[in-house]
Parts: sequence; structure tokens; C-alpha cells
Amino acid sequence: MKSLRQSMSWMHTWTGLLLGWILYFMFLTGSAGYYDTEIDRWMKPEQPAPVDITGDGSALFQMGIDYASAQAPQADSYFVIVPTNRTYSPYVSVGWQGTDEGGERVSGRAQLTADGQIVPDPRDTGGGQSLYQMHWTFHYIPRALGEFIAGLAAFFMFAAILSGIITHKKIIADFFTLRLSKGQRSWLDSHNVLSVMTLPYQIMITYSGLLFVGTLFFAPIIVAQYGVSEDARDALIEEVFGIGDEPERTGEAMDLTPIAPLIVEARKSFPNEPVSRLTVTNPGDATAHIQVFGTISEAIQRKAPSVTFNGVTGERLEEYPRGIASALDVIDTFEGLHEALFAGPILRVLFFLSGLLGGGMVATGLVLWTKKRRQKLSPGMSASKSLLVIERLNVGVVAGLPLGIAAYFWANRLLPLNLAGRADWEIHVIFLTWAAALTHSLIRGPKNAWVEQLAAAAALFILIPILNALTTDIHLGNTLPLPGRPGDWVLAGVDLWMVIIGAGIAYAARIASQKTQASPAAAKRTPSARRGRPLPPPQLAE
Amino acid sequence: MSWLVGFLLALIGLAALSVSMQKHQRQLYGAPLPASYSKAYRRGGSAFVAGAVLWCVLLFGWGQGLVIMCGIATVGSLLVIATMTLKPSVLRFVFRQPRA
Repeated sequence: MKSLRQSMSWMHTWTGLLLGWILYFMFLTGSAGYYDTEIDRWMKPEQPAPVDITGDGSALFQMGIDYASAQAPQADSYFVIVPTNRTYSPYVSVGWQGTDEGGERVSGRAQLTADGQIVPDPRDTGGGQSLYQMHWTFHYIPRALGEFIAGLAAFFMFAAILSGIITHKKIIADFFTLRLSKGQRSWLDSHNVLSVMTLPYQIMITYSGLLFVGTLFFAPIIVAQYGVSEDARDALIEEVFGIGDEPERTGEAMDLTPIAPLIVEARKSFPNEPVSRLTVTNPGDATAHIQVFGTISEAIQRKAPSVTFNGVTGERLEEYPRGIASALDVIDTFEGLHEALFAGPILRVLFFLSGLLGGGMVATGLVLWTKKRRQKLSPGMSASKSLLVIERLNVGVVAGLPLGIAAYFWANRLLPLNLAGRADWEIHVIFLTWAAALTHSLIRGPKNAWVEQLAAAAALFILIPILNALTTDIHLGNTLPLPGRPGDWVLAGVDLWMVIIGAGIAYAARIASQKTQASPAAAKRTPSARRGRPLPPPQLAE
Repeated sequence: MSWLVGFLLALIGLAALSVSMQKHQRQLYGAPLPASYSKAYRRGGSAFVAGAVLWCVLLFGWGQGLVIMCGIATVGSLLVIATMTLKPSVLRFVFRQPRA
């Protein structure tokens, strides 16, 4: 009978392997999500400078309301968002929705500069949002299926973390242990070190990821409790989120109260954070309500406090503070930790690095799986075809994905601006590059493919700032802050990160190259390998 | 600046904790250090890490402070591991071997 540790080891190995490739994809694209709005700006170089908020932003809110009421006087609701921090669009976002005379739902939105000019449409791009959303939607499949797969992967990951903790006998003693150039032992050490070092992050990101898809996995319970009708859905939303029916219009026309006093009044409830958003329900009617929100990213909890006012008299009606009183508040806290909207620049770097190290943990685990199987082969015994294929695919997945992501940034700058479906083509470039990397690794074999793909990815990343300088005006020469010039750290930061990431991958390519050169016989492809037959162990063994 | 203080406290603490382990003492000095040294490094290291936690919590509050501490500890241990593996002479210089 297997001991608990052996059972956990088995579970850790297989849960990790089964969804390892998906988890690696989720870690890398999810990590890019920590800079989604920065990448958005970088990928839209035509857009003007961001709006700079002065005072409490009431003039911008009033401007947004005036614009929305001019565009859609009959709308049922408006919203206005001002860019209080990186979480929001860098311009004044205005939106409206309602029903037309035929009863059809209509909506519209616009982005305005500080002086009320409409921000021109940028190039058609997926931007940072597509890259970020890919980590749970997987882009090409229906959203619900994507969420299901992401949830399943998170579930397996959580099982792998817990079983990994139990399996790892000397978790404290091995905390700082990394032995290089020891073959399988080095891979195991790397996997352990990356896992233990980022353990709090791994547990948090996995558990909170599961909470995101909770309603999908617990759908039967919700259906059993509430039913499946539209009314049942409304009842659930009202009970859980406290969002009730909107008041019916009376038809009595009334002007909206000025916004500025409401903002001053609302900030008495949340004095330490700026007002970032307001919504107007039933504008122009006697039943108008105005809800003024704080900033979602001021605290860990992913929830903005708000105050609701009578839209005609300005009377304070309701208040929703942040709190830790309900299950929903706990979920909001975990989801806030997952998205890290609250993180300032330094903490954001730490989140980003933790995400990348998480990707490294999965990658080392995948390689370790193949190394272990190779180690078990007796002398003279050839590796199975499945092992050879997995070895090659591991290279294509692990080294090919960064290559694809780098290609995404190149596509943003090089695809023709008038290309139909341009944003989609940017995404296609990621997956086409990735597919090419997988094919390349199958043809070239792991040793060569590691070096070539890592080197290519490093070159693509490092050259991005140069490509940027050749194709736009938002290059480091203009964006780096200098004495007498404020610069733009957001845009410069994206370019600099590309160089840092490229340098890191180049270092990995150098190590892979040294290993290949140290065993030239292993890199040399034999006729039997070209015919697809397994190579003899001495030539492929570490 | 306040970040840097927390990070340095954690880094020194984690480095001392790593040197307090016999396997790393062998790696650095070729032999284990006297037990009194190991004990001192362990206690000192724990105190520095605890100081880093306290610093972060006092400065950023319980919620954000603990999150920041986790991030700092991750990068700090990454640096310690990299130094231990690639440049052990740095650790040997900081944590001197007792004279015989």
C-alpha cells in the first residue's frame, strides 16, 4: 500500500503534467495582465496624452454628463469614469444606454480629452486587454468553455500545490538549495526553489482564481436554490450583489442637480480616495439617481465604496461602504489580490515577477517530468516515442510562448493599419508563432530547439524598443524622463521591460547553448533520429 | 525609501537564515560552523525577518503590509539563492568564518 507521501507524489506528478501546458500559458499571459493598461497605451501610439486630473475631477464629471445628455437625451442611464489611476482608461470615459422607440436596447460610449475633444479611434488592436483576458478565455473557444478550462486548471493546480507541499519532505531545509549542473537534481532544485519561494503567491492566485469561476462550478447549487428563469437570475443578483430594480420613470421632466456638490458630499464618506466613477439612472426624470463611487483600486478589496443621491434634489439616499462582513466581501478581497489593482508600481513589479516565477515553476516541473523518465531508462534502452514527443513539445510550449508574445508586440507595430480584422490578426500572430515553435521543436529536437527558440525570443524582445523607435514617436528617445522633460514612465516602462525580459531569456539561451556545446554528440542528429526513431540513451542523456 | 528598508531587513534576515543551515555552511566554508554561530545566525535572521514584517505592517497596514512582505520575501530569497549558487564569496564576505 502506498504511503500518504507516495500517493501525494503521484497526484502531484500527474495533476501537474496533465494541465501543465495550460497552466504555463495562464501564468505567462496572466502575468502580462499586471501591465494590461500600460500595454494598452503602448499599443495605441496614436492616442493623445492622458488626461491629468486637477482638483476633485468634478469639472470632468460634469463635462461627461453634459456630453452624454447631448448625445443620448432619452437614455435610461449614463456613466462617467475619470482616470484617477492606472486601473481606468487614461481619458474621460462616457457611456450611455437605453431603449429606442422600437424597444431595442441601444448604447454608446466615447472617450474625451480634458477639453472635451473626442479621442480619435486608435489602430485596431487587441492591446493589453486581449493578452490578459486570454489567460482565462483562451481566445478561440466560447467564453464559458474557457472559464471552465481555466477553473479546472486552477483546481488541478491547487491539488498540485497541496500535494507538492506534502511530498516535499525537506521544504524548510531545501529552501535555499539550488545545485547547478547536476542534471535531474538541478531541475528538481529549480522546481522546488521556484515553488517554495513563491508559495504564498501560488496559493493566493490559484485559490482566488477558483473563486472567480465559482458560479460556473457551483451552477447546479445556484439553479437548485433560485431556479433558471430570468426572475430567478434577478433574485440572485439582488440578494448577492444588492443590485435591485431601477426605479420606474414617472415621465415628469426634471433637470439634474450639479455634480460638484455631490462629489464633495460623497468624499465625506471616503475621504482618503478620489471619486473615479459616477452613474446616473433615469437622467432628466423626477426619479433620477446619481451614484458616486470611490476608487476600486484603493484597497485590496475589489470593491469601491459609493454614495447614492437623489439626482434632482441632491439628497443623500444610500451608502455602500467597503467591509468584511459577508462571503461576498471575502470573495472581493481574494479577487482584489488576484488582480492586484491596488498595487503601486513597486508592488506591481513584485506581482509580475511572482507570476513569471510561477510560470518558471510550471516549466521546470514539465522538464523535470521528462528528465525523471529518461533517468529511469536502463542503459541501452531507448526512450518511448511518447517521451520523445513530450520532450520536444515541452520546448515548443515553454520557449515558444514567449516567442509568440514577443511576436504579438511586433505585429502591433508591423501589421498594416487598414488590415481587416487587424486586432484578431495580432492574436493569430501569437498562436501562429507558437505553432511554428512547436513544429520547429519537433523537427530540430530538444537540445537545438531550446537554444534557437530562446535566442529568437530574446532577440525579438530586445529589439522591440528599436522597432518602436522606427515606427512611432513614443520611443525611449521621447518617453524617458530627462532633466527639463517629464517624459512618460508608462510608455518608457513597457520598452524597458521588453529589454529586461529579453535579457533574461538571452541568459537562459546562453545556459542552454553552453549545455549543448558541452555535449556536442547529444546535439548532433543521427540518421535514426531523423527517421523519427528514438535516439540511443547515451546521446540524449543529460 | 521605506520599501528599501523593509527589503533590506528581509534580505539580511533571509541570508542569515540560509547561512545558519549546516548544508549551506559546508557549501560556503567547506565545513559546518560551531553550533553557537548557527544559533546566532538563526536567531538574528529570524529577528530581521520579523522586523521586516513589522516594518511593512506598520507602514502599509495589515492587509497591504503582509502582501508586500510576501513579495519582498520572494525577491529577497531569489537574491539569496542566486548569490549562494553563483557568487558564494559575497556571502562568505558578509558572514565571516570564525577564526580558529
